[in-house]
Amino acid sequence: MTSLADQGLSLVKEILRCPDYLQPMREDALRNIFEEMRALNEANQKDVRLISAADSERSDGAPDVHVVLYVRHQLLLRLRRCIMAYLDGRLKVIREFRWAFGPVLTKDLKANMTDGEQKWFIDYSASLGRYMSSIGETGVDLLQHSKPPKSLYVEVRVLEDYGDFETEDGQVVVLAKNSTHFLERSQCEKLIRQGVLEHVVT
Amino acid sequence: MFVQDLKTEFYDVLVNQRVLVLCGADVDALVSCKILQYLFQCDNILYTLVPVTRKQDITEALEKHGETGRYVVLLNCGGTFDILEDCKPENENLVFFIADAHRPFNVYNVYNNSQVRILSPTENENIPGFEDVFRDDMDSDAEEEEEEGRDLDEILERKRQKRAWIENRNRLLFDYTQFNYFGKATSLTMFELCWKMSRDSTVILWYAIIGLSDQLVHRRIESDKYVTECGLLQGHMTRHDQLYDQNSSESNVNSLKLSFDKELNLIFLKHWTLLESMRHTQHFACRFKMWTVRGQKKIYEFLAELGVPLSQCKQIFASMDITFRSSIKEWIFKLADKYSLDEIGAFCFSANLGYKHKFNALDVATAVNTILDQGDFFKALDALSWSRIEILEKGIEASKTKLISIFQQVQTFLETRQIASTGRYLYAVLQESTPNSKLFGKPGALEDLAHFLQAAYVARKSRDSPLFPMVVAAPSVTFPGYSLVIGIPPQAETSSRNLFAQVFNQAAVHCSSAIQKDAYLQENLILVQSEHSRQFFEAIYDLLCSVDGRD
Repeated sequence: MTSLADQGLSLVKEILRCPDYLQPMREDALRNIFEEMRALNEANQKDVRLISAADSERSDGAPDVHVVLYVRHQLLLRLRRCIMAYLDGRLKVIREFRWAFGPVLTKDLKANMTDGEQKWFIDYSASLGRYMSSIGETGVDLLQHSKPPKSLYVEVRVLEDYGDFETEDGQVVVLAKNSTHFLERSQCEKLIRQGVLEHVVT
Repeated sequence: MFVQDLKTEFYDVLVNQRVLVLCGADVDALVSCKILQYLFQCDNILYTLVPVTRKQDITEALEKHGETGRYVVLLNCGGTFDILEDCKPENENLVFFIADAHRPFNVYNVYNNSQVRILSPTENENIPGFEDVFRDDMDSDAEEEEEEGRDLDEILERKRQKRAWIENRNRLLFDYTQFNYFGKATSLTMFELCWKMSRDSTVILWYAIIGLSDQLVHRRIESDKYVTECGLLQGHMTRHDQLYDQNSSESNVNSLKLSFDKELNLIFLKHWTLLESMRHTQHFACRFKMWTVRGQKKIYEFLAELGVPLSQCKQIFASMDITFRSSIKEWIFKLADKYSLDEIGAFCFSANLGYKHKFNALDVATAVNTILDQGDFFKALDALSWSRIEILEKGIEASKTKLISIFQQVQTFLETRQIASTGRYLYAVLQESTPNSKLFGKPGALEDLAHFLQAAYVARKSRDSPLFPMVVAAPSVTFPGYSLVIGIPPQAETSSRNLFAQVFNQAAVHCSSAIQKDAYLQENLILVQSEHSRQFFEAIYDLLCSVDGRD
């Protein structure tokens, strides 16, 4: 036997289970919940009409109907909370995408997002961009330094031939496959994300 | 030119410069590289590290990365050939620092004062004097025209002198380069640099220990020298322990702890079963002739006398009964005399990390070497860092598989009597159809096989075979159609002196079309086209005869 509103709970559990991966939107579950909510609501409406009709005839209404009414109402509130939590959880995952992968998402990342969520993503990107360019005179890229670096330089291993790479001090480093370099962290972070370099952790 | 003071003449020069590090393919080079990387990271010295396995790799690396910096550090490569002439760096301002355990050093490297600086210390190596090898008019043959007006006698006299000088030069150079051998481990040199700058730590010391152990595993060091070096390192170990005690009140379990003791010289004992470990340890297997039925019986007899039940011997060592595990060392040492197991005890270092990980330095050197032999330089480099122990453990498993194959191969060779003695040297050829021939087509595995084969052969016919060097050939994996040939010194030879570099060089002259010399940096390795290998072996025989004749 299923308990009341368990589908709402399962949605919340799902979003908690994998906090860094976006699952497909559980539309069927949502639809079921909406159906359930409508049924509850209609039952409540009916009872309210009954009670108000009864009120006009007698002064003391049936107490058991009141209790049922109250429970149904709490159930509705709970379902609403679950759905909100679910949607909010999804947005959090999508926000992480922005910080991890930048403003343009690949197809497979977009695959599990709904239209609304995609629009939200674009809006979020835009407002983040506006905020970052408003700091100071030239703007600051907040994405680049999300954690304080332990050292200025990092050891990186070249995974694929990249060719000449000019560092900020004007020197040219040849990034050829199967070589290891000790470079300034800020300069190679982008290449690490692209998969050209691998950060060697010792 | 030899560098006298490592700090001022080598390290201080590199500070604030971009450095290119070229690292040879052996464990000693790897650990030296680790130590150097640590130093560079401390001082924010930017570097580029490129692994090299042959001369051509050095040339290519210099072409690619030669423009980015002025300084090149070569670890365990580049010392034995003329680096400027053979690799022809385009950038003429490059300065080469060579830290190489291979000997002898090329005389051109030794006497180049501008571009080549050798970091490794010399120990009575009889390098020919400068005047004996170099002379102003050395390669000018066209001097006659200038001297037309002179007296004929004078010219003749000068020519005679020059001829005598050239003869003397050739003789000196021949004596100097006749044998290839190994000097002090590069990792020890690097460690010395480290502790002179007070930058050493337990981890750095462990690297130096692995470098030294690698030399012992590959017989690149005499046992008395090993013991001396161990003594020095042990001193450092005690110093670190005291430092550590002062610095922290409560002992931290997760820090690295080293210990030094006389251990059972059984390979991977801590990671294998006692029986398997005994079977695959070279000296033990050869003592009992484990490849025969009688040998099998004898080992059971030995175990019975030891008092360890067979079921326990077939258990992973770590899960053996604690009473056996703790006293097995003592018991075996007691029986060592009776069974004349004179190589069973060996002084070596072990490292402890937490409660779980305990490694013997000799085992680590062997395992890392196996990973390196698989051709994955960076994986081998990672295996050395303590945060990536799982790679090392994989290496140990791979080494075990390799040892099992080696043992089987030795057994097959002995049963089918395929090890031949020519009266000057022993040789064995691995046919392409042999099941494990793929495994032995790589330098590391082939070298291990050669040593095991030699020991097994000597154990069987010990009359004068200890005096014979050995040559083993196997089809090469990386160069199809070629056989990889390795030459190792006689078993009776205690030092690492190996004359095969020269012998191979000369034999190559006789059948030059079929040879590739520069495929590996180790000079006792050569590639011969498989169909010409017979001719090559004959050439070796002739040469060895003539060497003996000269003596």
